Amino acid sequence: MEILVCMKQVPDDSVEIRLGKDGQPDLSQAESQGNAFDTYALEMAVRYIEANGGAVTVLTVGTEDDKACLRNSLSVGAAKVVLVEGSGTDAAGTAALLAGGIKKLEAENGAAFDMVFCGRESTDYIGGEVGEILAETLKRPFVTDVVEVEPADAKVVVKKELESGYLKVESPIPSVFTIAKPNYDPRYPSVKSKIAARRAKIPTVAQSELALEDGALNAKVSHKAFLEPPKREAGVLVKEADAATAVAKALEILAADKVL
Amino acid sequence: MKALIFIETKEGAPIGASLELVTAAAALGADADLVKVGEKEGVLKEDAVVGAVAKKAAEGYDVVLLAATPLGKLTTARIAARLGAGSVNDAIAVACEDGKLKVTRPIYGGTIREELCVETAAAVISIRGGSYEAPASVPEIAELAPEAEEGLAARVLELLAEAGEAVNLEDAKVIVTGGRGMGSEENYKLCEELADVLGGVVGATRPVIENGWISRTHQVGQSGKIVAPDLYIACGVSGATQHVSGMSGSKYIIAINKDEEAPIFSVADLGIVGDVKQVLPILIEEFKKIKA
Amino acid sequence: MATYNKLTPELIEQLKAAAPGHLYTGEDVNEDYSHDEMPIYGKQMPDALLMATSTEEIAAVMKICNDNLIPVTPRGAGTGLAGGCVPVLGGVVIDTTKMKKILSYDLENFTVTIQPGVLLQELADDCQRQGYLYPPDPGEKLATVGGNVSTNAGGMRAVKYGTTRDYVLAMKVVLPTGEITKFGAAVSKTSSGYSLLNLMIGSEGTLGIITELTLKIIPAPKKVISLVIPFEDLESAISTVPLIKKANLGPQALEFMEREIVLSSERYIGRSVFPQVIDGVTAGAYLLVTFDGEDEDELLDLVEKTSDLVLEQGALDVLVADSPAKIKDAWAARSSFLEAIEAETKLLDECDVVVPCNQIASFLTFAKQYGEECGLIIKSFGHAGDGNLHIYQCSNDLPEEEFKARVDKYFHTLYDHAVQCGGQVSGEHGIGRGKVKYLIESVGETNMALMEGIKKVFDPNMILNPGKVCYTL
Repeated sequence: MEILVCMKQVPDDSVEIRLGKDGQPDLSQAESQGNAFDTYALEMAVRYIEANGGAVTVLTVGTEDDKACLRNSLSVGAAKVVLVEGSGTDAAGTAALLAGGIKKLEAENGAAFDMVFCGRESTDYIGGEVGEILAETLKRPFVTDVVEVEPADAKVVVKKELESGYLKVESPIPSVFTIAKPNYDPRYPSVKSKIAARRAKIPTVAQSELALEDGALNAKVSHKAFLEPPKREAGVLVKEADAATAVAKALEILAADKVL
Repeated sequence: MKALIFIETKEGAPIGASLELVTAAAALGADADLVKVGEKEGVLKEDAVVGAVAKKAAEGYDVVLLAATPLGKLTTARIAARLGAGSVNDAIAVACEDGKLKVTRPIYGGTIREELCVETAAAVISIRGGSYEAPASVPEIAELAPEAEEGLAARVLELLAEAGEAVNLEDAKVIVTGGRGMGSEENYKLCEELADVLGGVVGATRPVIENGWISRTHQVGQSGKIVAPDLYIACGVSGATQHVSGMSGSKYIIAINKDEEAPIFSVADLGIVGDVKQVLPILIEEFKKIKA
Repeated sequence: MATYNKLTPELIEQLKAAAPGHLYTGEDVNEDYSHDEMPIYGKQMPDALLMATSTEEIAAVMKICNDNLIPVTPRGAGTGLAGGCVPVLGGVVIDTTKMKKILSYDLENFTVTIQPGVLLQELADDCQRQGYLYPPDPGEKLATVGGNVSTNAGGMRAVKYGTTRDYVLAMKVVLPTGEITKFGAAVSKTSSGYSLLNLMIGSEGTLGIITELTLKIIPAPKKVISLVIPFEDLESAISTVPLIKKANLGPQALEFMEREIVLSSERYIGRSVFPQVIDGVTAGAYLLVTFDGEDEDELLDLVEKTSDLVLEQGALDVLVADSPAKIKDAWAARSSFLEAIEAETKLLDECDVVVPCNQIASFLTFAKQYGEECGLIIKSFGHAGDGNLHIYQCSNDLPEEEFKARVDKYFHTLYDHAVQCGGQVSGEHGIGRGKVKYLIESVGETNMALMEGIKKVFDPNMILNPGKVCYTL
């Protein structure tokens, strides 16, 4: 099985990001790392090929700085990584560049990737659109929120996470899946693979090398401004020596505010 | 301007967040047509919706609106791709400016908002529940047949249900959420009791789900459900951004926490500093009296 | 024993007048004030509580108490592990947690001045935001820095950066007599009389109450990387420690943990933490190592050198936590050890002996074997880099009195053994109330007499935190 994983490098999602004085998001306290869901996708892909044979390729759209997540991908089981040049594109533009990169690699390989994995959403902009648009562009069967993949003859059977419960879905291949959190964490790279990855050369593909449709990179949605969310007015704080008095006071306030 | 509104249904009835889209369309000054999509055995709901809605929208609508539910968010960008249109997920406001659609959405978990402009002639937008009021009246909803390309699409084999009943947090008018500060599964039940008394639904924060005190269908927050009830009571919840971004749209927020400095108090309309184990039983008794 | 008086209603009025709105009595005082995080050392409620907001307020209250022989017990966030803030004779507890302002930075001289109630996490985050590091990193992030200084708290960065003592430059202190004075100065070295500053550090609130601190900070390292190194057993893990030091690799943190505690932690957190089987071999122990530096290349060089070294000594593998998420996961597991033990144990006591690094493995073997002999369950982890061990005595089925008796017997022998190895009773948690008799046994009469003598000079009426550190009541 040849699996392609799309990866985006994003700011550390455990750090709260607020607008800086310059009106732009202040990313100074957040280190960059591979988007959490994309790392789950990579771990799922590597476990799959370790069990069933094949290889994993990781593709990123970005600039030189984004090569870090590709290097880390090599150290946790990716056989090949590629950077497609691009920045400042909207979801459709990013999907177009990913599709272009995928098609180029498939032409070089002489075959389509059996599965393309995308994280279900990125933790920075949380749009959850790139995987969707990519599937439509490639015109392949599409299932979202996959947490398990098993081979089934010439197809695959996946477990799709719902709000409550799961669906067992059979998909023809080649296909595109978005990946949600499975019940395992991405592995630690071993030092040997880390050091080997350190020395690896990461190829970059320029946009001119891709067969893109005219106007594919024209912005369909453009960024206009960043805004502060409105601050909720501070409410009333009830602090009494004992719970009974506190509740009584609270109920008074609720009655006055006509909440009940 | 012509708007196509996709109405999502739960057990046959339109969900609140979809009906709010009627108000959104009116705010844009658009004439709206409402559609819902039937189900087909073995076909993924989202595939059916994408096929049917994209086909209908191609008849000449300027904007397609969906509720930003899990289903809505999965289908929005796909419909847009089929129409060659721009898409935005999880919008909290839409407006028409200079003939183009201006859309506001939360990013970075809600700590920052972004204003976008759709450059294409058509637009497909999913809007977060609670961003617009329920409409005064609901126009007719046409039913579309589900569309899916046989052979190309994935096939549903079976539903693996999870124990526990279905939970509708998004439409609940009252939600009582217990956080890690409840201390134990036993104590968390106090939140369930309060929710019952108030005729509401019990919610939970991520640590509570991870501790296994209740199933993940009750999770409120960035990685759970986004809710905007009339009354939200947060018990033993610290107020981490991840959670607050899921409930900050609530009309009235009450918070109970023994730490006066807990961030939840800065979003609460009414804060009670105290031990939830002591405050909740009294609150439950008092509400029972009021209801009686 | 010294004489003490009880708080009368008149005295309470005097105290209230000295600290309007901040003095609480009776039911207004929460049960939490009767103990710290080791309730096994006994509970006792105070008669009154001062939620202090200023040096002057503390001084005024202290003077009234000193004049009237009322015991006074200082308290930060109450996260201590030796019963140090328990008001064993009642009296007044002075809580400093409301004095939580970070007052000023002097970035040219690399210092920050704070009130004692600032939480360690708050100080660390605030420094970080400005590109600085406050190096001491004790495990309890929600302890107050004043508390850290009072116990000379250590933490996981001690192996590279030293302990809290190394970062305290100056302080404002309210003495037991009610006088206000200053110790130290914001300079890098000094030879100006006896170091009263250093006497205060680690004195656990028995010589005075700290009301302001000036601390040293350093420029924050730009990058951090962690290694999870599984070994077949603890001996081989510890054997690499002297070699890592000799090779001058300078790790920021060097922790060891055994399989059992990792399993406890996984049960507590609810998911797998470290790989347990590597190439068919079960890991009996792990080293968790962090390096800091200016760029990734520098760090990867250190990683390579360390790997070569440990693999040669029999490490099963070297796993690299290279992303913020992975580093956080690895250390979250380590930070949860105490809570994991607490969650699974009814009766708990602990000791944090410090022994020379190369004695760690043999000392722990002894600790476990002897623990079994005493009929106690022993769990342990600790700082491989500086020999500070955290050894927990656990029981889920013994009656409390029986447990205490066995633990007492255990401690006598264990502390004795530690001293024989060249070690000490406490690396960082302090003596408090719980460890006083073991301190007497380990340092001997001469030194105890010197300590008690110094205490009397600071506190002639012996009102401040009676019964702690250097004498028993």
